[in-house]
Amino acid sequence: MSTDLACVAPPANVLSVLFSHPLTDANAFKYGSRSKVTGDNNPDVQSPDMAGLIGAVAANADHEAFATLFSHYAPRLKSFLMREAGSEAAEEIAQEAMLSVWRKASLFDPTKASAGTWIFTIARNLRIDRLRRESRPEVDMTDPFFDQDKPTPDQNTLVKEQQKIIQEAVNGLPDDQAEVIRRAYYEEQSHSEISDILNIPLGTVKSRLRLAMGRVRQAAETLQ
Amino acid sequence: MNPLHHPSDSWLIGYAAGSTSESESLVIASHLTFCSRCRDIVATAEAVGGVLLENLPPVEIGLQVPDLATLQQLNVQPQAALENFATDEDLLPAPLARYTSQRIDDIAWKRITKGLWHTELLTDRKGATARLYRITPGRSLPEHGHDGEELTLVLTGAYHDEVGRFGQGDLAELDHEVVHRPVAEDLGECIALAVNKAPIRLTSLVGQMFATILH
Repeated sequence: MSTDLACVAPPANVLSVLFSHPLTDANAFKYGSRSKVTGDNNPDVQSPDMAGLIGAVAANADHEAFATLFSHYAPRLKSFLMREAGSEAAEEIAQEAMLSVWRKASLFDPTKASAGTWIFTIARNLRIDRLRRESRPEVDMTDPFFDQDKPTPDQNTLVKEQQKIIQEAVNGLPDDQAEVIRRAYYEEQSHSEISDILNIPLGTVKSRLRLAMGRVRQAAETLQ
Repeated sequence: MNPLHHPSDSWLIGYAAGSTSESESLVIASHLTFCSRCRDIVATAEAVGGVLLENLPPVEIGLQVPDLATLQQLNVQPQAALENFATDEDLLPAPLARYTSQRIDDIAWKRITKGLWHTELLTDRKGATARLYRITPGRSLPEHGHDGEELTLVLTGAYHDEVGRFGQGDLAELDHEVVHRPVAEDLGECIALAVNKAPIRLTSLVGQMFATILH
């Protein structure tokens, strides 16, 4: 079979579906294979394609693509940062986050995360650095200890579908779970702080977070 | 490597959301180095962050899109360079090495008692302290409890206590109800990273020296 591959040359994404392996539960969400091969030929026509715009910035220093990203994300980043900072500081950090998007565009991997997720992590790290004045220890993929991920099949479409499903799951969370999620992400409150502020036992906060995450992961796994 | 003991989802969500403090993030990032299962959960939790960012109502901003000339003056981030790591076995995970040294042998250990050393790495703005412990095989820590939550990650060797057995990459999550007496197994020295906010609570007089040194 391998000797004929070069002649037949089916699209790589079809190959990856054909050759996908059974997966463990733990990896199912991240590496799950698609059930519908046809989906590959009909990419989500969501407009504008934010991940594609970051790709254009990386490949061609495309200013127009950057301007579209800026007008979509800068006002949302400010909104996110204003939960912790004043309007002026929030704007400054939002600006800095967008400059990071320009500088780091080549590091964005659309098979791993959506545009919004990647930009969220940039803003989260800036918030820790600028507002909290702390460092953020992170995994280093060049670490000799690093337990390497398996090679991933083409997942551009999968990441988009996942984002949509995760959005539905997050928007459908029961109020008590939605509240602890909001506090963790928007207000930067730890589980023990949420427990103190809402005056509910720590175990209850932890179980609400676990249940919320369980719903999201379960929804994401339906994609396989 | 597949660790058997993991942080609960609420710690992984906190790490993804950015609400864990520096010491807490340090122990979680060090566990993630060993654990693809927890990295997957963090990736999903970050995707939740992405959704929550997209969900926010845009607010008015006074910012203009920077012009191309300004952007071109920025240094473009190069691809992360591979560091030239030694291949010895006595290394620490990278997130941790930044707070002490890459090699276990280069760490400035302080002796607590026979067969037991420690070194403090940092105390963060929430008062959570990260410390490394080094225990000779067969030695134990005095029996103790905790007034707050404690996260302990095994880096080399293994220990067991009333809760279970913990080997390399395993993370033990203890709350104030647990009283334990960890014993290092005979696999070799056990080195562990422990993060907690409150001083440990000794259950006997045996460990007075231990307590005096730590606080």
